[in-house]
Amino acid sequence: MLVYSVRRLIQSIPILVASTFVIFLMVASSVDPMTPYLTKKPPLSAAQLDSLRVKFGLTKPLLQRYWDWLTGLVLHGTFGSSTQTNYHIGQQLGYAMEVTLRLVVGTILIALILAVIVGVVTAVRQYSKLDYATTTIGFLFLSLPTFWFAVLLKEWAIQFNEATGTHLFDTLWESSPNPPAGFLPQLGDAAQHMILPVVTLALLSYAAWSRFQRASMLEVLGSDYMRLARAKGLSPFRVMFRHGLRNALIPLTTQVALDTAALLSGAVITETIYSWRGMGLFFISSIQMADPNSVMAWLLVTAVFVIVMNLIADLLYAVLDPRIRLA
Amino acid sequence: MAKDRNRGRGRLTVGMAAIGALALAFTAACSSSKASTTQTSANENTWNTINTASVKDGGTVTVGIEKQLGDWNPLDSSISADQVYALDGVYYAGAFISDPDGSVVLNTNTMASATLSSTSPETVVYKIKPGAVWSDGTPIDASDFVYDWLVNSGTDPNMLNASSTGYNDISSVVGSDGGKTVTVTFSTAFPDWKSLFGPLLPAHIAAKHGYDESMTLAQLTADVKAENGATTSTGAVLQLENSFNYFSNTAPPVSSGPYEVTNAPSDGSSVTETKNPKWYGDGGHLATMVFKYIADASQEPTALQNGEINVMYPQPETDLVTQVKGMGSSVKYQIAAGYEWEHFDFNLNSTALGGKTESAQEAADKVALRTAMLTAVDRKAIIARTVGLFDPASKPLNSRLFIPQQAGYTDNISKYGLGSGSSSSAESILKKAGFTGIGTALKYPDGTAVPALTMRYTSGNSIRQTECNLFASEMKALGITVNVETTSSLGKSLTHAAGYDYDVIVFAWVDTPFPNSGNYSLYVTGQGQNYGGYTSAQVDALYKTASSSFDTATVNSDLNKIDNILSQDAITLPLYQKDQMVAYDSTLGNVRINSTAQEFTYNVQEWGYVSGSASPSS
Repeated sequence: MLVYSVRRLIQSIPILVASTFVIFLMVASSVDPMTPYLTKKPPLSAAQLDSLRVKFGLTKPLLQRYWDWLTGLVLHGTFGSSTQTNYHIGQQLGYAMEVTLRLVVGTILIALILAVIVGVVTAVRQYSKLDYATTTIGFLFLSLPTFWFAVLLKEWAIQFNEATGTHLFDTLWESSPNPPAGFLPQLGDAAQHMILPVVTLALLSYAAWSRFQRASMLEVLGSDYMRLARAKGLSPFRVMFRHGLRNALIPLTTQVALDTAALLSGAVITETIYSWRGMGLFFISSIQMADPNSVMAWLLVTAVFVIVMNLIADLLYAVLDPRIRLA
Repeated sequence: MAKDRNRGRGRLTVGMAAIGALALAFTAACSSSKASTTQTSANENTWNTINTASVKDGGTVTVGIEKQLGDWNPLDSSISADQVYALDGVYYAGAFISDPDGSVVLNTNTMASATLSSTSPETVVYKIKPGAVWSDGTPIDASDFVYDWLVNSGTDPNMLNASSTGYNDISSVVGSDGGKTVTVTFSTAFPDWKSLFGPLLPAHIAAKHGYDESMTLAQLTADVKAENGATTSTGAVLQLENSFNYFSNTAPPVSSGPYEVTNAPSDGSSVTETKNPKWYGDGGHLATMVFKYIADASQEPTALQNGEINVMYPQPETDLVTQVKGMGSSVKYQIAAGYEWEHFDFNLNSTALGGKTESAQEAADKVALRTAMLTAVDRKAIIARTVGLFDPASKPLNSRLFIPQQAGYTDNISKYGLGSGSSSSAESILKKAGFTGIGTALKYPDGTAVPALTMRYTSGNSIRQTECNLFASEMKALGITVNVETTSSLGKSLTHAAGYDYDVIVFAWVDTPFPNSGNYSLYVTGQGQNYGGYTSAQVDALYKTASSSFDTATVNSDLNKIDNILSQDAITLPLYQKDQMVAYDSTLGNVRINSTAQEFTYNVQEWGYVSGSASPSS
């Protein structure tokens, strides 16, 4: 498995390099860091604008700019200099990843546990009242636009705060501007800020995943090997979880892996509404600030997420189904 | 099985309907109307006094801002308005400040006086208050003025300062009286001298980061000349740049304002300021001010309602204003027309509308075409469909060089019929000039067709999209095809980059309390922001006169003459002043709109929780 993993990672390097080149060309042709400076009032002098073009490396040929960026990344581990003042791309990206990771881990844990439980139960009790109820709720969440659901949650939270005279729910930021001193109070502050965005993402993710899990479980329940397991006299628990659930998790694994890569790239709407400065806002801000190297950094990290999450999904297949051999 | 499925579908339908009804009821409950928020209306009589209150000491105010804080240097060209808000409290005090009504007044906390002692050569004597000190105890003195002058002088092209206007006319800055008196002499007259020495950077801190305090302008000029246009400086010039960049990259190490920065995370998400213990001026009531980044302005009202912020200063939009209006008596807000104004501009480089030379632009058919087009524009209709939706008081702006709250404001637009929306007048102008095909396919008097014009607006801006669509439909009635397109880069369009160029464009200018120097680069031939390529010897001559006059009445008269010429030449049409809005916790006193570049935090030392109120966080 280790050899397989290493080989897959090595194979992904040329794909990554090729994609960075394509992306660099696209970014260079669409993001102009001079844009904010061209409309300043009072205007910058022609000499100042020339100086900025030199500073941003815009006077160099495109291929040289790409080579400089690539060698900077490979040899020095840097993403290049930002066009924003006092802005270190690596540092900001690291912070954004940490924020998004916090959001995603909470989301996946809740959504996955809910989805698996609901998926299994509703498959086993197909067409029961519980099945109809969870199916209806699932479709409701599936049909809700994220922005609408998030805003609704915020309104509800504010009304709850006002009605109870408390401040249980925070509607903005990943922590208070000046969090309380001490590890535990800070942890509490962070947890309080996590409630709404995590609930938003978790319920919306749960809705899709529970449908996958239900469908997959239904297919497995009707399979020959399940009948054989029951005929052999295995306990219902063992049949369900050892033979049924394990196989039924494979399609969900693919879906969760892909969704996790997407979430790690930034839940743009959720992060914007709750003002969480994660990967989504990093990307939006990089575009708004016309900062090509920041955009490149985001795209590169996102591509790595997709490759790694796909690899993890492949590895999990082998864990879930011993018949799958990785070679 | 089929029966079960049908029964299942029935239950599913009922279930979904029930949950749908619940969701709708929930939404309705959430949006149920509350007592209306108090609007304190700012008008020309109350600009400087609105929301005046006696306040108590203590408490924390959190202000929502829409950009991450990165650049800390108020003189840097990359500084944004949000950064100015956060810096106002710790400013880097200056000689003058702009009040909300646009009047420029002496900063009496820091300055004892500033007097124009001679007009030939222009000489200004500044006297700094003896007690005015930086927060580390160092006196604010002439060395700070000298540093400001050198970095703003425009001598070093690699210095990315925001503006050299006026500073490049200074020949000397001399300190006396222990540095507390500063005499500034100009080589070229600069009547708007009050616009200079706004935020003063601490020279003694600059000296620790490369600046040689003995440097003179002559030395700087010689050193820059010796570099022969190199894009990377060396020696003392580089050191001066380094000191300037230090202030850009570092949270203010010292303060000359009522607050000092005590926490500024490197991620730029917030800045916390506490009272400057060496503050020498009046006020300074709040204990702490926090400026915190909010990614989406439309989320600010809920944050204000939930007590996460106490003040917000967003660009007003219909939904946002409606939301604030429904927030009850715990929130107050002010909306007022500000210094930013929207306008349609022609690109006179386009042969369809003019040409590169004055004679081409002044050709009778081109002037008639432009005049007819601007006459057909119905500004009131545009306002009703855009900003009028949330501010019924919004009205057409009738000057390009003044806004109504400035003394020189005169209607130089409507008397020419521009922006009236009168298609009959427009048609009459065209007919008189010999145009044919009016209302169908317009042709110049020589019979050639008026080509289809490209009109651009910034992509994603729905208000401008509406403005452009209305313009296009009004032009269609004249027989002119206007293709409305977006631009992803306003800068590239204005500078006529290939693929981004335009015939007509809509964007906004931000005016200043200095209509003379502030607008010079917009209409004088060859100036940097004369994007439409307008050229008029008459306008250039009038600007030359206005730029050297110290008599306000003469300046205003000259500027209005220029505005009249611009109307006669029909090169641009002002639409309306953009609104500004501030909403705040109703227990906060002395918070008010200031639509000048000084912004709403211009008076943070006066802010505080109203005496007798329960401060939400003290």
